[in-house]
Amino acid sequence: MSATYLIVGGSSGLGRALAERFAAGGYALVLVSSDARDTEALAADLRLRHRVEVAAVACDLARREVDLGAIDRALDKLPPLEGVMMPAGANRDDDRPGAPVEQFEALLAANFYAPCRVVDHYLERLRARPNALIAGFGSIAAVRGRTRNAAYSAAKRALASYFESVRHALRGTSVHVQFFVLGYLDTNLAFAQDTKLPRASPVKCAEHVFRRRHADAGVTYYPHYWRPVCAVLRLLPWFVFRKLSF
Amino acid sequence: MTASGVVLRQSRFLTFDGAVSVVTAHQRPDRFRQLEADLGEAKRIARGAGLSYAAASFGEDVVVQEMTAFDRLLAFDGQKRTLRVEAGATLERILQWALPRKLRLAAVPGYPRITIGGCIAADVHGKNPARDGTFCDAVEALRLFHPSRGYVEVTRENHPDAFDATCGGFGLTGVIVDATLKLVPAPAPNVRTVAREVDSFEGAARALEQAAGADFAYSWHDGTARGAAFGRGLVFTGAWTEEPIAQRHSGYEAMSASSRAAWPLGLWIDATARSANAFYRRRVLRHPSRVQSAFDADFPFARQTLYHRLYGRRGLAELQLLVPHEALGAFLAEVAAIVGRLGPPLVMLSLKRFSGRMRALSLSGDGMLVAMDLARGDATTRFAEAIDDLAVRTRAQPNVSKDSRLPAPVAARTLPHYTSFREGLARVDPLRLYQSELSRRLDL
Repeated sequence: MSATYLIVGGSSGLGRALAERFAAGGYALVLVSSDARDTEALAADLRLRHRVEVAAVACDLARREVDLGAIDRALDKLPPLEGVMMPAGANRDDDRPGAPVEQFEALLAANFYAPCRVVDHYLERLRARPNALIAGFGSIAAVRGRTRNAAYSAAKRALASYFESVRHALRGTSVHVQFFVLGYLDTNLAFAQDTKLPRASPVKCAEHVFRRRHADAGVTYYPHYWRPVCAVLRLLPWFVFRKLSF
Repeated sequence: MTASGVVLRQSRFLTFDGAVSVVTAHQRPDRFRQLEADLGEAKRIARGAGLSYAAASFGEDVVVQEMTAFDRLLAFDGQKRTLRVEAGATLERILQWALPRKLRLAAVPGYPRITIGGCIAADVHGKNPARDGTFCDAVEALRLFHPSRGYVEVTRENHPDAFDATCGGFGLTGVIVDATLKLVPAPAPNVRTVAREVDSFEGAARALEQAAGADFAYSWHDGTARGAAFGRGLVFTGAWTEEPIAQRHSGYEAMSASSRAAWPLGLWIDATARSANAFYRRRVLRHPSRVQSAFDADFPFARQTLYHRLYGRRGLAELQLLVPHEALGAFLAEVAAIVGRLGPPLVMLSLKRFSGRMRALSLSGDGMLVAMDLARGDATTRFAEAIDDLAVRTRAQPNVSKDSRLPAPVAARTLPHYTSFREGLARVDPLRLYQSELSRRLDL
């Protein structure tokens, strides 16, 4: 396959599953995570098992200013960029209103600034491709503001809005902009949580993304049953919502 | 998540035999930073697929570090035929990569989901260990993580004590992060297995001796036979072949300790075992020679889960002992006497010639492996105690990874490297951070 996909947050969880699926599909990859040891190990594995070109880049996304030079250099050695996927994200148990400003900034950077910055940086490259993909990943946690995950949810809701803007801006082009609103996945983010609904497999989610990579799908909920659940949550009047604990 | 960023939950762990169950803290690191996260002075132990019959990968108030995300293939050296893999990689993952390249592992234990870390920790064996040795013979190097030392590359040459204590050391020296394994050529994609009938253990031992050079060589014996018939069974020998297989299977449903124990009742009673064994014997002898895929020959229980599930929630007991060749006759005669006296619910026995040379807790030396599968219960407990006594008298070594109740005094008197391993652990892990139910039961 003569095309490359960039996966930001590609060392674990959904990012790793996406890397596995797209490598199995024959695509070259650039994997970005904050720890080179994780991405280099995965890159070595994918090269051995799928015989594809994979570059590993270390990049700390928890800062406002993200240096994309190393990613650019890695992409220059690979087939043309066809897709950018950003399953990267960060959350904390103590993410509540009133948290220290550094913590707030780091959560916003990892969940909003960095994905937006990456999208902006690679827009022109992707426009040149006949069938390109920009995929962002949100969370059902962002459907309503809660005490927990305050900055995380705000960042994800902002990201959803930004992706809608990008999709609008790219209408009529060959770039498909997709935004996946994720329910509970069986990754370390949900590992210690007492989730009310079952956790979906990140491998199945990656398969879903792969199959729809050329579709003009807009916003997709995964698993799908979260769409009506979120719709109901949005409609709940405040006097009911404030009593909920989830 | 704790203050130090460690993601923990409470999980219930169960041994494959269904005998030991513990609820304790569970970590599932999927990045190096999580593996290195500060657990303070908490006791911890690495866990692979969790398929051990003994509680080697969990214990009360022990943080279980599940290594299944560390399952990547890292590097292959075609000239040396070495593959570096992370400890959570399964046999299936490695063989799926290696077999198309006409390579394999010399010693492959009987279930595809077993991890490389588990294979090293228990120093497992394959279908002809007398010829192929044990799994750790193929280990060229290990990378161990211990909070007090960080990552250390361990080989036979640079850290012989740590290497010896880790190969067959049940994870008590630290976390095995990755290993460099020597692969061997895979002569052909399939295996022709030939079964022949034997009427005694002596006949089986002779047939296995004659098949010393075979690719696969082991026996099966009807555990329900009594008197002169005790020992009747089948000897299987196998050889790699290019012949095509008659029937190609697709996938299989992975079995775990909890799925094995899903049925509330155990159905292996004397009548069912007698009937099933007779049926099995007749079925094998109807087609004594058959060609199987390498997968089916290596992993006979991957697609045949009924045998283990029939033991139900109460579980099974597998006693596996390495018996010196010179003591084999007396050992088996005494087993027959004990079976006659105590009447345990013995389902099947198996013999396999063995040669091992590791120096930790795993089987070491030459002899015949004698395995006995029983339904768990009071009679089985009394039988196991009698076998403990017999092992001490005949210098037979119990397989620690198969026996979830083996008491420390028996281990101390039967395992040739028990004392030196125990002393070595005090040097390798002075704080004894790495512990499990197994290590505590064996007084390590």
